[in-house]
Amino acid sequence: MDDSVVESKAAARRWTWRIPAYILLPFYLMLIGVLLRYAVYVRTTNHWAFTDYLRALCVYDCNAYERLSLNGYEGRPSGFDKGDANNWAFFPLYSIFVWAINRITGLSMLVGGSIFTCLTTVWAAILSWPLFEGRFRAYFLFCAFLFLGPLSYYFSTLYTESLFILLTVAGFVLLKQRDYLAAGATGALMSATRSTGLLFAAAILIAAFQNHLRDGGGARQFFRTIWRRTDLLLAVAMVPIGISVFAAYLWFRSGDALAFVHIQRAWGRVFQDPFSNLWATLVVQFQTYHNYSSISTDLAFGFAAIAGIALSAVMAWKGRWDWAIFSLFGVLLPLSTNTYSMIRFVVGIAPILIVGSLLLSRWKWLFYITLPAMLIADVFLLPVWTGRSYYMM
Amino acid sequence: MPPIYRPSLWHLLGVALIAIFGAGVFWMVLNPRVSEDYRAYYIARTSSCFPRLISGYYPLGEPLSFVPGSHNGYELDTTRWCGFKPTSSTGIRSFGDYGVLKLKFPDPGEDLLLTFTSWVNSDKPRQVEVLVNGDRVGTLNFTGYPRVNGKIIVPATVVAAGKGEMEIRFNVPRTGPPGTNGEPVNLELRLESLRLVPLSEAPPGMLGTKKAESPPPSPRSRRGS
Repeated sequence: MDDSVVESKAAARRWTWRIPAYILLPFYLMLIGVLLRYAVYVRTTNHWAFTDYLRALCVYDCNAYERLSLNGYEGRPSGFDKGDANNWAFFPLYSIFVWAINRITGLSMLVGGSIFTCLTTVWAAILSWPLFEGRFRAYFLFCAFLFLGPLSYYFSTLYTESLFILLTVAGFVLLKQRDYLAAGATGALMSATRSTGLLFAAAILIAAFQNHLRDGGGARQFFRTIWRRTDLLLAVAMVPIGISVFAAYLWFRSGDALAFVHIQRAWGRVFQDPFSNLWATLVVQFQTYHNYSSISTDLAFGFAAIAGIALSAVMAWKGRWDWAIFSLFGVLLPLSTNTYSMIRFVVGIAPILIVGSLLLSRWKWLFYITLPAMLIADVFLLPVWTGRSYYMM
Repeated sequence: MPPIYRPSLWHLLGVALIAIFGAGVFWMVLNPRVSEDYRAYYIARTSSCFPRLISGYYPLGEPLSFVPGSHNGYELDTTRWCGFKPTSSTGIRSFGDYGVLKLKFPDPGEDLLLTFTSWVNSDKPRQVEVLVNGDRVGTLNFTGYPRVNGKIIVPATVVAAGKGEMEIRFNVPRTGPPGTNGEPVNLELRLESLRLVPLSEAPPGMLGTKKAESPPPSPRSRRGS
């Protein structure tokens, strides 16, 4: 038998069974992240029960999503100090999945939901690989941010960020492949997960326009022949289905189809000029509280919004207008109601994380500084998160 | 070579179905079927609080405590209706333009003496109007942080107007412009305890000379007398 032939056959077999690094990496980082945070939790609290750790991670809206999965939507508002809050503000898709996992596996909402969140994030990371166009260092940083970064808590407990990022990444990959109908269906799921999912309709139109130009078409021709693009029309029409079904449900449940908007009064949210809100949040600690020695939560939220807007501008500069518009309005929409939770809203926008990773991994030295910095922040912020800090919310 | 696109009937059918569904949802958006208090608070934003569902039960004559675990008084949170936060070690605190208590008890057919302990979160002089069943029965003058013990006589006609229910409303002034949440900044009134007692049964020490704090009866109560 010819040795070379045997060797090439073996090599071919090895190749067949080889799992690409971009698939393995998120799994490894997710496991490392979970074990690391659990170790830090045990070290700081001396509690060994893993469910205690999961419970400690489940703060703020995590409890709302858990209750939503357990009991569904509530009746007359009576929550908070003012007695005007309930869970109508929380979109249903994530909790439906957690509820389904509970029904199928028998796992508690907390355990099943935490596993679902971790695996959804892994899936999101794997799906995002084509969007990095072969730049593994940036992909590594993106995955490290999700699983070992200072805000990894959103991606390991019951929050919608993981599912929304998965759907966003899937949507943009489908747009890259010009599969507009599948992208539209993904958009429908996005709008059932978070209100900003609606913005994906604009991303579809912009991506189609840019693809048309790449194919040699003209701008005028695109708009003149758009009525023939029935695939595009259907894709865009599909995006609001998720939020519309939720609105219809709320009409039957509460009598108000826009209850998810109106209930925001309990959180002090009202539609205003987003830039006035941004300015107010940037100066409030100096003008009102005369605090010049620390960074208040208001200022931190303002910085997060600025970072989101700046990274959206970078996307536009790079010609990724579909990402840019989606991300910019993904920041401005919540900013127009209040700056509260701005860090979380910015971190939940996948293109912002991807472009941030691309920028920070552009130079090797920056990449090697960022990576351990994120890891250290992750470790030190765990007690801050479990202590229910407003900074992190 | 610019791309050529061909329309598909299936796509158009899908769009039509979604449009019909969307029109239905749009109709729902335009036609909310909600209670007046919901509409006023959440949709029109004309009221500054959303009422709680309460029994209003109040044993007339008993001191009503808003401090959990206090040593005496009726403690069940049955009268805090709108615009007051839950009971705490400092009593109940108002938010928004007003705080309202609702008390249900059989009408004794005579004037009632309303007493309460209160203070505000301001070091400047502030006034708080007190209305019972829509009639202004008194004004509290706060000089600053010091406690004010309210003592107001509620005329029998005003009590009768409530038909077995008494709505005590404290109108607090606005102290600042709306912040980023669009809500105005109001004076915070804190109530620690409250008592309503028929005037004929009021201990002599409770009456004192404070009756002068009550303003002249409003036109509505004069009509009733």
